[in-house]
Amino acid sequence: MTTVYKESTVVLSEVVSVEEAEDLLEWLHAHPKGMVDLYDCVHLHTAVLQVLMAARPSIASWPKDAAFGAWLKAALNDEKKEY
Amino acid sequence: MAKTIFVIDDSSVILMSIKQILEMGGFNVETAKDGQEAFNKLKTGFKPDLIITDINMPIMNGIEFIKNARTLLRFTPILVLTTESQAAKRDEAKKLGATGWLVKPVGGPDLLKVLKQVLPGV
Amino acid sequence: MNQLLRQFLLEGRDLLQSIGEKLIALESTPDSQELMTELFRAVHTLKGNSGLFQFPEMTHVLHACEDLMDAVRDHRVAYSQELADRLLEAMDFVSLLFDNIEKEGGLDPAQSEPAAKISSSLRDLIPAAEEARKERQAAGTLAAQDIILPAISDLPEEARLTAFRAAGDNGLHLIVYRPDKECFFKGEDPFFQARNVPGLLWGRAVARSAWPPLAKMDCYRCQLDFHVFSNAPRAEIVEYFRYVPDEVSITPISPMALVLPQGHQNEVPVSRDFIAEANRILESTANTGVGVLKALVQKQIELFPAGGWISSVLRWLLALIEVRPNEREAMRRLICSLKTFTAPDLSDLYADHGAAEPVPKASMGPVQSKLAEADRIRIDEIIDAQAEVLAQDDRVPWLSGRLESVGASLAACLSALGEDPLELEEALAEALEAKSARPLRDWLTTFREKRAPALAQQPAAMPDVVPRKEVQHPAEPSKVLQTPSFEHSSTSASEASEVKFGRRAEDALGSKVLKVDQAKIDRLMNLIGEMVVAKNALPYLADRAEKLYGVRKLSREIKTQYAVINRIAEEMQDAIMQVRMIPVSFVFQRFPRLVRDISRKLGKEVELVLQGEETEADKNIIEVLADPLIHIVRNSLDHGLETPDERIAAGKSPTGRLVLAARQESDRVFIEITDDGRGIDPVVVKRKAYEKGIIAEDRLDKISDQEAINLVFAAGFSTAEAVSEFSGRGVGLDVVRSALEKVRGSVQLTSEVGKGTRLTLTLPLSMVVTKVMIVESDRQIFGVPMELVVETVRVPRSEIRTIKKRQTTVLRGRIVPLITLNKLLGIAAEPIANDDDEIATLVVKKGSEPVGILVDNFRETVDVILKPLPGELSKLSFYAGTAILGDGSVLMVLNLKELIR
Repeated sequence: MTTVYKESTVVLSEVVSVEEAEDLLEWLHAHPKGMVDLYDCVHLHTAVLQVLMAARPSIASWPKDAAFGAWLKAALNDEKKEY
Repeated sequence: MAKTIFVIDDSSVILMSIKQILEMGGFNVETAKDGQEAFNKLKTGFKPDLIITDINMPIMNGIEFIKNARTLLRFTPILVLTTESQAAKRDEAKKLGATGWLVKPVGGPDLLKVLKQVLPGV
Repeated sequence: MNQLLRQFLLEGRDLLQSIGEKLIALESTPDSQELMTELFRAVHTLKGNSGLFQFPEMTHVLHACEDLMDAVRDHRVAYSQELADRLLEAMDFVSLLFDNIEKEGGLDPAQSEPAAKISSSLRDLIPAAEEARKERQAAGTLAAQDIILPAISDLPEEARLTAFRAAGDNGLHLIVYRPDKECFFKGEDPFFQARNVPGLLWGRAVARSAWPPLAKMDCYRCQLDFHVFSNAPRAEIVEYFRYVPDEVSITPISPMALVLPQGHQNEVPVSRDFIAEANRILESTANTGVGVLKALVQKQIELFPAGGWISSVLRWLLALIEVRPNEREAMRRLICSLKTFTAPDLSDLYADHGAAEPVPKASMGPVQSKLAEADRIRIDEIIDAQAEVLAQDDRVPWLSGRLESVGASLAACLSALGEDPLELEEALAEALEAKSARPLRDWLTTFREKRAPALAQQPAAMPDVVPRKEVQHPAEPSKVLQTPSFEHSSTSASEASEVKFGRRAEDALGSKVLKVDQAKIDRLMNLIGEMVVAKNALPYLADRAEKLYGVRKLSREIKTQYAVINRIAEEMQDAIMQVRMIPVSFVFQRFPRLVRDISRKLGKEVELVLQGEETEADKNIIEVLADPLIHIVRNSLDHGLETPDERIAAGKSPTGRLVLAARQESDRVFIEITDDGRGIDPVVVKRKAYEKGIIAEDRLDKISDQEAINLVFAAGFSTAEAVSEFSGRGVGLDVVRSALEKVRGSVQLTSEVGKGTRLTLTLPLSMVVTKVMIVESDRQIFGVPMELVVETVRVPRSEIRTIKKRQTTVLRGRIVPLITLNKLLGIAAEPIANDDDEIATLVVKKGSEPVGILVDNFRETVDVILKPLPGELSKLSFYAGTAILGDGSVLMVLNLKELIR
């Protein structure tokens, strides 16, 4: 399992596939204060990434892979205007 | 976890050569000899990580197969095997949901390079 | 005008149009092999067609075009703007010839001079191979239109600094990747693609628009764009994105264009000492100075807050010192901006930086940045090309067409640049009136001077141009062309003496026929098919209303409504069928050429007579007709007609006669192919058939001559003694017969030895609704065309007897052989009897004999529109086609004739 839903945190690990976007969207919708743990995650499918970008949950921990983390931080922290 | 690749071609020579390359690259390989056989296999719940299919095959051709396969596997990457002259088929296949194409004859380095490009986690 | 010529003109105009479109499409995707092939094919077809008539001028020009296209296709010549212009010009000329033919029925011999000129100018383009190829490679691909480049200033400084420092010898590219919204359903993961771009320096994901509330979000439509800096060679990036070329724009960026300090400006100014010292170092020529400056700058950076303007300037200064220590002017300007708090304009400094095109200042402003850099370059190219066109000799009859096309191209450029086209229109009007390119040329020169002083300094192609500063032509208000250039051609159309045509202008006027894409009509056809099926549900509904719910009145009303809908649906269907009707000349027209070529090769003399070409039938039917007809005609030429010597020896005229005649009788179309050749000898046929094991010895004497002749339709039969190039390719008349049977047609053959042979093809006028009975076998349903079904009966199992190992039964005193559908289809299952132990039996005709086909059960009969199986599947002769049922499922309709053969 690359996605584990806990009480208030969802743990995404390894490669998170496109199929999981729907569940994640539902969970984040149902848990507006839910947090996301990305520490062991090495890739998110675009669909999953955009769910996170739309929901902007708090990030419990960023990926240990720094280059990947840079992409996510830019996408999830950036408060600048969107196109 | 090794990824599973489903290869479909009516030529057993091509099937064998691709299978060999992929197995050497550490993939699990399943094969089928035409679109119908392949589709039947998918209907049993078989869910490969990637599909490589020929276009010209008896019974159910690659184009039809892609159309059918997309009803079962929405997101699975599908690569079509084409010849240089089949640009039109590539476009048709892309429209129906193929991810990309491989040009026959398929060499090892090429194939693995494309897989790296379309399969996260390889 | 004869039908064939009319067809040639009609089709020729279509071809011209599509050639024009493809040439124009090629301008934006010059690498498209597919377009190139299509283009070649279109030119080739047009040339071939023109050869059928005595229009040597046209054929010459088209032949030159074809040779040129062939060279382009083989990469001996690269596609270029100039080449496209020449080809378009040639097409304009051909179009002019079309006009002449249409008006006068023939060509003015005076046209041969311009024809020769154009041909030679086209051929001039062929040898210069190598240079052209280089040009083509340099041009690269044009990005998709709707991708908007982000302004440089919108890219984070960190990203720009990274890219600036890492830009290597391969240049630096900004990639904007806008994936198809539905791309997830093609197995794509754009984020993954973006992360793995070769030479990735920096990248980010950007939402295309504001996010909807989560409850409304569709996470499976891609709503992200990706921006990436890469220092990989362009070719590598293009190769990487080869599956989605339309979704990326790859723009070369000069690293210097990235130098753009940003930050808040309410801070303490930099010390004057630092500025003075820095400037002093930059002015000295000593190389060591830069190292000193670097140390100075590093010290300064620590003094200022990272988010401020000064810190940002200093960071850029540092980057410049480290990566491009020779850019002293840029450094000087950066230092200056420490005081002014305005971004330095460095655009003049990077104009000649490697592959990177000058990214104008505009890329930092909001408005112009919408026009992608690549587009702007392309526009300049177009403008340049127009200048070259205008520099050509004015004394050609198609000048007005040329001027208008130049006008239209320029107007499009202006509108893309957001410029006012009024002056251009004036110049165009003046040029058209003066029949000279000069006014346009003058305008263009001024325009180019205004646009970019550097661009106007390329007079090579237009040596006689005198630049003129005054743009305001003293044109009378009445001469001002208010509407775009098309207006002119419509007014001048009345002036019969004037030769007029243009690339675009004419199509809008000429024909009264509305041309519709086949696919649209096919769609209509499919829809009406579904409608016919859907309406059939209404009587059932009425039945249910009455029987199940007991509302008789409602049932009646439904039935009344059904009658109305039924009538409308039928009329609609009829109307759609009418739209699909095309004349058989569509198929016939290719024969004059074909017959000519083949008979020449065979050393035979043949007169081809075409009759009834205007006879119409459904498009699908006509299309089905094409291949069998070619086969038959080849057979006739090859085996039927004799050589002149043989004919003279037989007392016939040396020239053979081949007649293709079409006629309509009630709802069928008849096509007769008659030759006056040697005919088919039944004795020879019988012997051959026996030798090939097609008939048994005991039948040899029993069959009539006509039956013998019909043996040629048997599979595997071929009367040819030698396998010739033309017909004996292992395909016999059996293929013709089965092709026709697929569309419910048939073929008859009559022949008399020494006199000739006649084949009569009979086809339905259209493929309207077919009545199909649905039967069940082995838990699957199949359709059976009702026209074959004689009756349906339930045969008690006890009445099925096995005679000579074959199952039979007796129906109305007649022995009927039985066979199970499962067996015919290769299904290993026995038919299932009903509760009374009876087996459903479909009685069909095999020739004149009834045959019983055992199935599991009968179901209803339905009206369906039978569609042939697509592609490879169409080779499965056991199926007549497929049909969509009311519930949306697909019904496979069996070709029983083939199954029980």
